[in-house]
Amino acid sequence: MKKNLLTRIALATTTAVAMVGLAACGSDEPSSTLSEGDWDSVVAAAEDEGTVTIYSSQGVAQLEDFAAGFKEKYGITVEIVRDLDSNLLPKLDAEVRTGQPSVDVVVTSTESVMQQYSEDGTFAEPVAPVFDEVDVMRGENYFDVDATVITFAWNTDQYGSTVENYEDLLDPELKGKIGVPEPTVPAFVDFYLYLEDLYGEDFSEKLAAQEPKIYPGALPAAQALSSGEIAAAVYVEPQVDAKEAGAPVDWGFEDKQWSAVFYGGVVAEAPHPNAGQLLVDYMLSVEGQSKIARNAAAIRPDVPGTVATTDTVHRLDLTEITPEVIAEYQAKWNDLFR
Amino acid sequence: MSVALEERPETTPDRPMPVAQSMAWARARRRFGVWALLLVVAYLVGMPLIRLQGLAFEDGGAGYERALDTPALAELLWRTVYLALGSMVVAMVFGTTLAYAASRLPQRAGFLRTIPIIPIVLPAIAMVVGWAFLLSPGPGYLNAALRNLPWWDHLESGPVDVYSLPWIVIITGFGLTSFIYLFVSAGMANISADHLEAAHVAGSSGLGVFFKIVLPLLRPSLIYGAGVGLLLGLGQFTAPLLLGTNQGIRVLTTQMYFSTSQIPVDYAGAAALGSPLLLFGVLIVIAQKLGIGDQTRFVTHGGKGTVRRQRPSRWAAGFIVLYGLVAVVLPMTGLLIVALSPFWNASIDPGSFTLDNFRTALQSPNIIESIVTSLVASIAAVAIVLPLGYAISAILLYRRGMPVARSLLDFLVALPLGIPAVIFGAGFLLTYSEPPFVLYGTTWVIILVYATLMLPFATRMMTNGMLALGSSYQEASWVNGAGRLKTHVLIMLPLLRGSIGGAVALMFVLLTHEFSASMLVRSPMTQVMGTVVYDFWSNGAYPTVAAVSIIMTVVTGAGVAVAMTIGGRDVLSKL
Repeated sequence: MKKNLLTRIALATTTAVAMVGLAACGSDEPSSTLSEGDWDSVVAAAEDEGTVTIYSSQGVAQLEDFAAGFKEKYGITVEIVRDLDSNLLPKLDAEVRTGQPSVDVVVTSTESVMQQYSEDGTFAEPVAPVFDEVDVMRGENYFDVDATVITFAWNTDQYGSTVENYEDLLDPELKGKIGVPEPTVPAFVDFYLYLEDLYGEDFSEKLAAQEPKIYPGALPAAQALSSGEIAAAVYVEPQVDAKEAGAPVDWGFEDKQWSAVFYGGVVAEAPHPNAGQLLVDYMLSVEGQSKIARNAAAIRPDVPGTVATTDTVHRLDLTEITPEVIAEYQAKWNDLFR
Repeated sequence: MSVALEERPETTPDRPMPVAQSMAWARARRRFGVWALLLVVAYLVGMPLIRLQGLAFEDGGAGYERALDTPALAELLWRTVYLALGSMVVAMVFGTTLAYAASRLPQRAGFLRTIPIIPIVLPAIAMVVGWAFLLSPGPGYLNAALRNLPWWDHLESGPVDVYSLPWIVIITGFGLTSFIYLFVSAGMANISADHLEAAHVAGSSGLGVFFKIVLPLLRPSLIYGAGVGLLLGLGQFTAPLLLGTNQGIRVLTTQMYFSTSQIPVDYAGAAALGSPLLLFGVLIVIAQKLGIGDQTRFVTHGGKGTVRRQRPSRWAAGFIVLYGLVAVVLPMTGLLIVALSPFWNASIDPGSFTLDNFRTALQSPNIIESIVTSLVASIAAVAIVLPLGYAISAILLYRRGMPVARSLLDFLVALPLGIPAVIFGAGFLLTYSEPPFVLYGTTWVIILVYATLMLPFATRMMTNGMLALGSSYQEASWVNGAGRLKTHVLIMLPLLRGSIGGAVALMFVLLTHEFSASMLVRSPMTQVMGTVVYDFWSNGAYPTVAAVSIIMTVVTGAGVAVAMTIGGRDVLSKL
């Protein structure tokens, strides 16, 4: 009997597509659950899992130090996905919707989203013993991790004077050479509103009149500052590391500082639930804080390498910075800066 | 043939029904096959687009309302058109001149013909990053060098600002030049050398021949090239995304991307923003189908081309070499210098050069994983799309009847060429993060979007191969009693192996550096090379960006080398 190739190809393709669907529905990793025994059994199960994934918008250098410390202590590899909240959260949202998260621990500065995940059961209850030592729980299932102090900085090759405060950035000499963050996330909006609080409501306009360049966040702005692409940055971490590495940069602090508080949560349907709990335990320990909160504010006092504690820093007030306030400011910013 | 068979029952009354039945059965199966194939293609190509529009129209068109509220929407649209038209003009000027230059290369310099095609093969994101390192107003190396010139020595930055719209247009234009070059070169091959020789003999200068003879004769290829250039320009994503962000220069594609990368995320708004591009793409594809219609009308005798030899010109080689230096060597040099430096600033200090950045890149598990994912996804997509393309070409060319199914198939297959990859990326993200096929976060969603994007290429290259082959081999096989399957396997596949090899090679190269659709369908744990470069770019570690870009270029370069081994040296010009 004559065979028809086209039919066969069509059938084969249909089958292949169906198999793709089936293959993708099955997970390629054996699923693991949180150990029901005591903490030691969680640690043992975590070491069996052998790897843990964190999505975080904290500093890259701090995350890498922290991951190295964890690996050294427990032999568990930390996979770091570092990006801005505006990139991480939509992707996390997609993973949560598909019911197949590939992440174990999430750290972001967008409290509204963390709160929602805490309430809707996306986050599991943290069980690490460290929570008996420190009072960091914000809602049922999310907690403070640390807070990055954000400030201004300038390139000493490009700009001869010293910047004492944000108002100095309005120097006509800096026109076209400043970097500002794009308010894609609530924290950035809060930062602009903090500036308006300090210097009056027209400060955003004055800043926009400087024709600044727009950066997605603190890290790219810091790179642009070191390279001389911009002469001053409005929103960067204290440039301790860059200056030590020999980059021509300096920074200062406003009297009343602004900071971004980072919140953490352990994902309930995580692929490595035990390692996730253990990672959080380490993250909030003195050793973990000395790495993850280096040059930032720690959740506990007397942590070497940190500059403050989270109970003293500025914190975004969810009752004031509502979605309406955010949308309103974003619209204003778009008018002014774009 | 079928008529003769159907008459047979009357002449052989002993066994009347089985033959007729088996014929009818075979026809039914064949029809079923065509419809099944159509269904697969319709799901792959159509479903993501339908899902996008469905979302945009949800809640009484809330997505469209928000899209219309986009700040400075008019400017956004104007910029999109400006980018498309501007980069198309840049590409037309360079592409046409290069094609003319290539046609006048001296025999010994024939290998230079490949140079204008190189930018297609190199990862666009690497090229754009390279240009940024050269032409950033402050620390850009080329800018720093230009500031040494007496008339620019008073400048502190510039003179060029790569982050401005005109330069985004120019750099995008460089990328499109290769496509125009290919189209125009194909058109130029059809111009009879006699005309040109006659003009030369009649005393016309080289320039005169170009403007008075070549350009007018090229009109059809130029118009086609301009149309494709415009379409590609409208969908451009890489250069506006990487270069436009700092000064808030957005076009429709990047605005779409940013709508999916913010809090709260706005997929419906993104879908609505993509609609003008979707509509335009669909219209162009329909217009093109109506314009060309039945492809078999364009079958010409093959393999009997006359040997044309135009008067060689010395400037031709010079021009192509100069273009290669500017469009390829310069940005790659920029990348290399940054990749070797501890950090990027205006001064180049060879004393401080280090391989640390490459070490960092190669030690990072994310980067290695992304290279593997790119390769696996590309190979799998090619493996899926190749049989699809073969079957579709065979149906479109050889199948009679079923006009609706065939027209639909023809139209659907062409869509991914007309509609920007960003839109397909967004559609795939939506379609495959919900049942029935929850593939988000796996490599499969990348494989499927890659396969879809390559459908037009696979089909087109197979069709070209089959057209060139003509139908006589098949008919001979049938007359000798071979069935359809036997004919395809024993006759067609071996004869088409050149086209198949070429198609494999080309698609592999295009896919390993796919960026636009990947940006939308990737997940944090499933990345490809281009998206990893972008993450480093936006999370700020320029020397690592440069190192990863170079590694990516090397991987793609290796792909090209393999492609040329399989598909022959002229594989790239088969586009």
